[in-house]
Amino acid sequence: MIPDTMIPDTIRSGAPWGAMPADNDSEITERAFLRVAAASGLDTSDEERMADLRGRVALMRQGLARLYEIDVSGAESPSVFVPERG
Amino acid sequence: MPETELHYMSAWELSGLIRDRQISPVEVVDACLERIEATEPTLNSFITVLPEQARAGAQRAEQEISRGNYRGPLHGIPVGLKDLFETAGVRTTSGTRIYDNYVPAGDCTVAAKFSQAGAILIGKLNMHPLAFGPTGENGDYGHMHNPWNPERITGGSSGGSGSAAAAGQCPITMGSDTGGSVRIPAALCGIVGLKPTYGRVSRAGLTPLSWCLDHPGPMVRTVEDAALAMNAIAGRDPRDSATADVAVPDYIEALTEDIRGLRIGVVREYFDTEIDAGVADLTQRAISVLGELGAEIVEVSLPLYQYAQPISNAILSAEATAAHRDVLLSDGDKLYPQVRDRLEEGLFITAAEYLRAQQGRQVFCAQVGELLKDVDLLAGPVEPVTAPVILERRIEVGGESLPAVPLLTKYTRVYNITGSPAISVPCGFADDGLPVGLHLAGRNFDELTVLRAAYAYQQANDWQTRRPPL
Repeated sequence: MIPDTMIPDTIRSGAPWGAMPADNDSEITERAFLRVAAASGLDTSDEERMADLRGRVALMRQGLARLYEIDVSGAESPSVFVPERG
Repeated sequence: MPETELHYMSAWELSGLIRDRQISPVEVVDACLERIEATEPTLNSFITVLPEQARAGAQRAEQEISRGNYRGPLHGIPVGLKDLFETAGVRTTSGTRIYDNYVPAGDCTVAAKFSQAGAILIGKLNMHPLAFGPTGENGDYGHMHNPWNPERITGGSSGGSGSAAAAGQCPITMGSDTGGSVRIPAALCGIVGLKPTYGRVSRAGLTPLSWCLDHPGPMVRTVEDAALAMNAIAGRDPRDSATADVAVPDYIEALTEDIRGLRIGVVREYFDTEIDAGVADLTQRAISVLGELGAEIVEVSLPLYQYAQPISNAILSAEATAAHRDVLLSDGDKLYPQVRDRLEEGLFITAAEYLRAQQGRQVFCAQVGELLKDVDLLAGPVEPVTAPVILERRIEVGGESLPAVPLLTKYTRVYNITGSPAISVPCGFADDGLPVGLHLAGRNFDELTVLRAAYAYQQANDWQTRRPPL
């Protein structure tokens, strides 16, 4: 559970996922979060900014979790590559 | 000469007068430039105005026409482009100072096609930075202001296009729509905004936000002008592999008032979510008018509607971050804070999640496709509210306080996912005096039916003749 104090009002209000979750079941651990942030090239030395981002990411990932509620059994391959004839 | 002020005449009206040499393109451009000068301090629609270039273009057009070389209905008509359409020799900022000095060597395909048709570029329009936001905020070039109430947002991301067309600064403007960025400002500013089918209009030379969701489209005051613009810009483009080799009709054919026999599906779920009662009432009344005009109105259900936001967000965020990762890492501190935040969030979407969203998209498209086998069009609201106050992050709807970004895109994202043609056409004014848009979407590559219904509705009302109190 992300402490409420970690989620600034601006993020709560601007998050693109709609309803704000009461619980966070797709929490990303701090260590994993920082590893991805560093690997992505973000400056992880600014602790306040990283805490802020981690809160937003947690909310975003709540929305991503909803994708797994969709029955995609009829869907075709989501990525295709059609080589051009040489 | 008609009584309408020159700057408020539609491109359709102007083109007849220009063709018959009753007015000169120079007079038209001057009228628009005067209007821009008078209203720009209030609206902030433009990032770059091009008075000298536009006047020179108008003089050239006047000479060509007087020599008998009339190119067609857009000859001598001023056009404004959202500032992510690349324009030869004219800076293209994508709404951020990071690109303040970026001057493309060539035109994007849309600009080239307008130029070929004889249209005159009058300026580059303000926008939400990198097109990543539905409100029309811009910390670098100033926020955009709604002509109906300058304390309210224009909507975004093509906010300057919305305010410029609504305020008579320019008869034809262009926007781009990834989650609603043509239709949102069209609805909130009281104009017509058409998102054509994905692949109908070239994206070549446009700054991308999401490659598979971006749609360029016209933003104008009348349905006729949307048809005129489409005639100029639609079609396969070798520079954009997503454009389809599908025959382009003459969109003027859509301008009949006969919609007898059309079946229009009203999506039940659109009215089962948070929506302002006044907006819902105006939308329902507009749909009833279509029924009175001869369309058959039926209720339909789109159960997957509840997944439009997660599908769209996963794809859009991942692609936006992929497109702008370099600038995020090199100049993140110079980006508009909310845009920077959203780009950073995209770094945390896994490839597996992105692909899952693409699978979800296919299932979603199939469900909408099934509906469109039974009906010709889907109808509903464009927005659940009228234009909120600038920088208002939460919006009251039906006693609930909801975050602005998902609220403003809740209806529009559906047709970015499906790629379907969709239009916002003005359908009245709410109690706060602000405009409301009716949303009509059709089968892929059938913009004709969308325009036909929108035109019939427009002709049955006088909403498009109302002017903001500037």
